[in-house]
Amino acid sequence: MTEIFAQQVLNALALGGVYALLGLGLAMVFSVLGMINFAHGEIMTLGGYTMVFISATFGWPFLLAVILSFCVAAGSAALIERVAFRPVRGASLTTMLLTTFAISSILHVLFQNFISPRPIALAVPSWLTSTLDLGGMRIGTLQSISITVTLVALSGLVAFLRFSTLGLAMRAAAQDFTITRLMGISANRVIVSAFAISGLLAGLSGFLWVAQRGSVDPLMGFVPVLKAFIAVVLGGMGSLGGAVLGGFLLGILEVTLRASLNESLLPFRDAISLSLIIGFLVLRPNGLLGRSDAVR
Amino acid sequence: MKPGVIILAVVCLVIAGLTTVFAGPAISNTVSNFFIVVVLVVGLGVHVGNSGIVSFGHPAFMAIAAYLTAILVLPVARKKALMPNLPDILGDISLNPVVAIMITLIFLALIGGLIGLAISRLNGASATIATLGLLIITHSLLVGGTTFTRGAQAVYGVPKVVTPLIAAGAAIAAIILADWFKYSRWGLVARAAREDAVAAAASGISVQRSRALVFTISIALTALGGGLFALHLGVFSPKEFYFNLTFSLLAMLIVGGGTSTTGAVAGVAIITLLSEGLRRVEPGFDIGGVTVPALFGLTTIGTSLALICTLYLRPEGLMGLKELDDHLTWVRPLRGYKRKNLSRAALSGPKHLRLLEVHGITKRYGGVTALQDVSLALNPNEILGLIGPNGSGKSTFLSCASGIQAFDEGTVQVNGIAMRQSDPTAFAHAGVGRTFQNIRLFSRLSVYENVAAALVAVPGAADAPSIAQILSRVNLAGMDDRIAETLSYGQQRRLEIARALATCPSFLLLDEPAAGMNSTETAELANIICSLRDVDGLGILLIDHDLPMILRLSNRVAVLNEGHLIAVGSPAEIRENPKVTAAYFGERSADQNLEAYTAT
Repeated sequence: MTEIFAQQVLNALALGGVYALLGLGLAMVFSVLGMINFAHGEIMTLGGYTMVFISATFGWPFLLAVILSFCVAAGSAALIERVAFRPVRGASLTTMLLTTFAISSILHVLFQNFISPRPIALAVPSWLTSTLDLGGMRIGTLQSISITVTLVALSGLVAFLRFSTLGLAMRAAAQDFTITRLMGISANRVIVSAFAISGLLAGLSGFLWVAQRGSVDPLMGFVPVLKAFIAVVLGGMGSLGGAVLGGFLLGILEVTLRASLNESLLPFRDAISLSLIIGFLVLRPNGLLGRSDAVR
Repeated sequence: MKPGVIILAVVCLVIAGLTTVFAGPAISNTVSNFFIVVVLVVGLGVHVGNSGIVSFGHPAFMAIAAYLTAILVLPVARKKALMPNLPDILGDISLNPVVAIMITLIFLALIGGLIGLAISRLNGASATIATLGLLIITHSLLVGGTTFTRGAQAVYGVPKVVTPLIAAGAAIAAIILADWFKYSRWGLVARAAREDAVAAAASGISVQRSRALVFTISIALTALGGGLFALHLGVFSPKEFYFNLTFSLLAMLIVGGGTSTTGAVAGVAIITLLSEGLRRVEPGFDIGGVTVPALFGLTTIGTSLALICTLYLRPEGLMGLKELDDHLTWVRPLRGYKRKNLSRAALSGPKHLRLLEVHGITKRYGGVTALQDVSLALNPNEILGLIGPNGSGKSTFLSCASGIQAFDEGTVQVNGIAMRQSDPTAFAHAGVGRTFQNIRLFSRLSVYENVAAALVAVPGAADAPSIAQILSRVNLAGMDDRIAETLSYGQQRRLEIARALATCPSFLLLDEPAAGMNSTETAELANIICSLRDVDGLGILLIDHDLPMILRLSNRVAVLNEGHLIAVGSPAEIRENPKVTAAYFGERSADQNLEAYTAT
């Protein structure tokens, strides 16, 4: 019984970790630019494809493929910002939102045509799918890795934001981008860094997601990112800590529902979890950690 | 009816008529489809245009409408075969399509109203993401709810009764409804809230209710489109109503111009033509011996690129904010907005004491105490100056006294009635008007509409001044059609006062109305403020850093320092008060400085 419970807790934290990483990437871009980035999921997919191709085509070690996929994700996020998003920088929320939506749609079609409309399997090394024996309890290696990766990434990011100059500039930009620019901080540098970091986070979550499922398909990133959006709103739009909190809460909620709902209600678990969150937001429109700005 | 709407209706009818007479089944099909999409995009436009909030959730309601219509009209035998578990009340009936559409409309308007009330509590980005959630929720309900659907499988055999003429009729109805609503008093207040929700609430507009109404009407039109969709195609499954559809509907709306009904129709035409063209080359083709390979999803790429080009080059879409009428020089803009008269009970009721009374207010921001136990009353026929160094709590005080901001302790009473915190709409209705330190106009509405939005929101006495009278009061006569954001700074400040006056206030709270003005503009403003006190008998709270002006105009002056009210008195008393001079200039050199300063 305790073993099942412990396993479920790990599942919840592992899934929540993926949402938290995705949500943090989204929140980073939103707080600096006010942009809701729909193409975030496609960065995740791109990272997944990189992993598949590098390990299948070149037969390189799995870990190397994983690391390269992070680089590709971070680089492509920065590239998309440069090519597609810069012309709408500073435009209205709607304009930016629809631009990212259009880019996301184009990437879907490109993946479908030039890679494959079907899922491509990834040979996940056996050590990833094994289980660990921990004091008589058997827990999945992958879940443990997921949680570790999430924690390391989050603490690394906290350290970066807290102790580096660029990190300080980004935190300042998240508070008030106009003023930050007036302080002589290059807007491009802050924005490109925000996208690169958000891409890196998408790459990390892409790795965890693909390792869990064993395949990559063109629409892979879409649904988890939609849910991460909802997690971000739950945590409080514009709050980085809120995004992480919201991500973990969503993971816990989903795993709890999966474990506790009976057979006939299982198909509705997404509907139930999202309804609960929207219901909560209606009562608390600013989310958990959101702030309401002073009016002048 | 307006000429622009008539022109659109005639065009729709001509296309449908020509199709009916000359075209074969394939073209008829495309044309019917086109008109149904017009209904859907105009419906979506009612929401996006009037509320300014992008919705991804409309296809969810369209799906529910399509399923409901199908269930209502399917022949009983077919229905038993497709959905054997349907409750008898639905399973044993087979209605006339018109009746079915009516029921669908009413049912979805009800759902739309309920969900609209909930969603309207959320702002901007959060509201959009909540609609995204609605789409996912509905999709999962349709796939999972096999009692009423066939899961992921298609429903088929719905009688295909839609002709181009019927579809065109629906499109015309949608256009007329959308246009009427946009220029109705409810549409006007919704558009005002779209431009600035805080200022709208402070002008007496009930933002949440207006958004919920917008959502309901928009969903009713979407339901019409969804029902027709079912009766047009005859076959559909849940995947039809998911992100692809959301994306194409939004692309059409934005390419045409999200806030314009004419634009919505134009956008549908452009994207439909583009897609029809691309669909023909999608399977690949030969040109001069060169084989162009098939590119599955070419239409999606075309739509996306059209959308991106629009957003880069003309983010407000082809028509921008304008309707066809705005391009017809002989059509005058609407001028029919009228104030609702106060009920007889309100007019003949007992005359309350007129007093805006702030009692013992404390407001903390985290660790900082912005206001500490401040009590102050504003009487009619007086100008109460409120001064103090930067950060002393003046604006916070004004925001608490106008219901914009919640506070931690204390009460605000208007005419002896205790007001609920952070309910600016109620304050406006109780007779408290205000302006903002950072100008908050309804930027993309005209001068006339800025005043009209506040005027229709708050009922007033029958003899209260008209829009023209208010505008000439603040020296903006004849500028009715100017878009607010194109006005000069001083004009914008005066328009804010005009908007506040349209709510027939007893009290007017002005937050730095002279900031950034030159001396001529300041003098003009001072005259207006004095006449509002002397002629109209308003009680005016005036915050400004222009000390000479405050001391000259005010009957009384209150001084805030670090959140404490340190003095209230006549201008002469304030000038003499050592605490005030200390707060402004420091302890030592206080006296000489203030005298020198106020003498200028």
